[in-house]
Amino acid sequence: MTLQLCHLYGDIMNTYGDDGNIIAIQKRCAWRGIDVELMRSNIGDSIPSDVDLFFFGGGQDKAQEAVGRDLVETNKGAQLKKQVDDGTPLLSICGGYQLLAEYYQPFEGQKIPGVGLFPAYTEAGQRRMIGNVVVQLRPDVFDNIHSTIVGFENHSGRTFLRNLDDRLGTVVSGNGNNGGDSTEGIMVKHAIGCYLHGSLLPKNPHLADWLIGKALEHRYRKKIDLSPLDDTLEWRAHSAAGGT
Amino acid sequence: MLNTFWQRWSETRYNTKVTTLRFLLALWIGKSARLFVRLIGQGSGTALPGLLALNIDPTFLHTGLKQLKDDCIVISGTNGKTTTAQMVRAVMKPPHQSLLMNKEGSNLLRGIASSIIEHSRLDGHIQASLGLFELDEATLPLLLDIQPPRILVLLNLFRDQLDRYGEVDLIRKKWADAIKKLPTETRLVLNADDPLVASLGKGWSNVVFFGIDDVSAASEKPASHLDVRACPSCGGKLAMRNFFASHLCHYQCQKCSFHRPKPDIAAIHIISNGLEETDIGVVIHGKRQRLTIPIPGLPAVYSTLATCAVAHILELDKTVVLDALRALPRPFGRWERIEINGQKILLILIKNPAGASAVLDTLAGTKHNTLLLALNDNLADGTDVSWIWDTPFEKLPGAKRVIVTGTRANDLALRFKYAERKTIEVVSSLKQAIIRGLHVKHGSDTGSLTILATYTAMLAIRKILTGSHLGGVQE
Repeated sequence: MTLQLCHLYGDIMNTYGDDGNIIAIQKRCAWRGIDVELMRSNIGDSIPSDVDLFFFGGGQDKAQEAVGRDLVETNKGAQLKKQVDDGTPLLSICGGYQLLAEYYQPFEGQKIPGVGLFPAYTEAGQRRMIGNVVVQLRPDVFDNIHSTIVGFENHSGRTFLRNLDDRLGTVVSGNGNNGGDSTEGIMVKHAIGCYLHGSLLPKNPHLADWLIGKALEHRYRKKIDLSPLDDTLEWRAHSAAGGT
Repeated sequence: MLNTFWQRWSETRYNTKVTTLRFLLALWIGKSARLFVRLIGQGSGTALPGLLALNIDPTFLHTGLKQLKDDCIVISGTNGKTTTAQMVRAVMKPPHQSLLMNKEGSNLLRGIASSIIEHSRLDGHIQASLGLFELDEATLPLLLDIQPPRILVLLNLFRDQLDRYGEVDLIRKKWADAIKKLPTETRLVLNADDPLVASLGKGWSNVVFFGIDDVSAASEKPASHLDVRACPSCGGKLAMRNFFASHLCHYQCQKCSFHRPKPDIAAIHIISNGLEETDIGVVIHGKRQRLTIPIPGLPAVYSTLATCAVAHILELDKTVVLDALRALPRPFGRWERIEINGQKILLILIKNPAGASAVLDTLAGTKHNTLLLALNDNLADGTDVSWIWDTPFEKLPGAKRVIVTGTRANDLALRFKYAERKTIEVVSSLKQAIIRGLHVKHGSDTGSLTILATYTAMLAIRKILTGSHLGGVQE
């Protein structure tokens, strides 16, 4: 089996260990005999059409601005949206999450338009939200034994969902989307946006496997059962960060 | 003792304002706190006394530092501050016995205030003529505002403890703003190989650039993520090649005229002798020199070059400088060698992707009996441990045994699992981990133990290894 993984803007959107997510997907596939073809799409490149899973990490402000222009001023954002509408799974974190939502409103000046893939918007905030986060996943989507995901947030942008039911989960500890409404992240079709660095997927193997499962389903157009792995170390790190 | 450079400076900036009553009060309370902290055995008093003094007299640093008739040398950057400060201290020692230094690790303003408290007489007179301070990246602008230094050494800027410092671009902007306000007499010593640092010399005539010209020491590809890809001047794309450590490289903007400045102090030939020492051929303002330092790795080469730049500015005696560098003791936790019952221990601080990656590069090809890695997530380590995923631990050298410990040992174990490193032992207690590491014996060998640890873990390990409870290190 093969899976085509596309890392969006990985050359400049890679703060806070977000590359660990790529490593996690590659290894968890390799350990099951699934080949992963890693494609990279940076500024000026096109979005490949045959992608089974997208990953989009966070970056510094300047990088985020440049990437935002590249997504919105070309048709790349629209292409990405179309692929997600077709069911391609995507994981975006922090800056990537913000760019895929409707817009970012800085303290001063014009709104910076986003791709509009997520029905949510972000406003600049005064307080930087930093620390470990524990999130209770939406039970209607995830029926795993481990119902929490854990990560480390570091953002000042406050993201508000148009519809609270779109949330990825509910904050158990930490701030989440905006530090106010107890929501964290968003989920539309099989696309996820969230603020969880850490890295996210190595410590949350159930989420990694969910994405891999959806990616294979997308490619082979049928449900594929993943062979189980020994995740003892993963769950220990999950618990060490406060997950249950 | 003053050479011409010092004299010129002193004429313009030396100021012996009488200390105020408030300063004295702050000093006395600081001194009492220092005594108290040391008496109860709760540390060496490098933070609390200074913190108290600064609260009592907000101008404490200003009043104190003004007394230093030879002013101060300030060293900052993400990595290499301590090593560089120790090197500068070593080469300056003979003519400048009265140095005021902040203690390693106390590189916030309170650390400098504490050093003033320690070295002042009760009447407020500081028994030192020159300050040599290593400063935290975020604290540097604050000190520059209070007391412009005579020499400012900027080593590099990498992602580090993003939870505390924020993004690299943001720190660079604060540095640039603070440097703009410095008097033109301040000499800048800048790393030519770091575009984020070198670009700060724009518009300054008083700059000494240092860098590595020996491309045989470089890699074609960077070892870890680059924290800069765009030109700091115009935002255009930087053409980068010959990577020495993370984004320290040879570069040129493809859009504007910004390029790597030609270094005034350049390493033209680097020979590393295992983990023992490094031979460096240096060109100092056109003159060739050979020197040896008893520390491995390219980061130490950069520290050496920065030290040569300071020595050149101060017009120090060449032979004294070379001898001092050769005889340099390895700084605390920086490739530090400790021997216990005939077992050799190497203790190496790791704290961010760029530094850890350089350590892994230096260790490449070496063999170890036991590797012990300690990851803590206390405030001084950074509470965000995600940096281990930005660090190429796939390059961890060969070892018969790998033990992980620290408050986030489980995260480290997981990182190694995903680096396809098998059989990792997780030992939550630092002491137990060391005991295990020390008691691995292979055949008739006494085991050798190589320790990579984050800051607070390094301190704790050092205390266990060198402290009084050393006798208790047995299985």
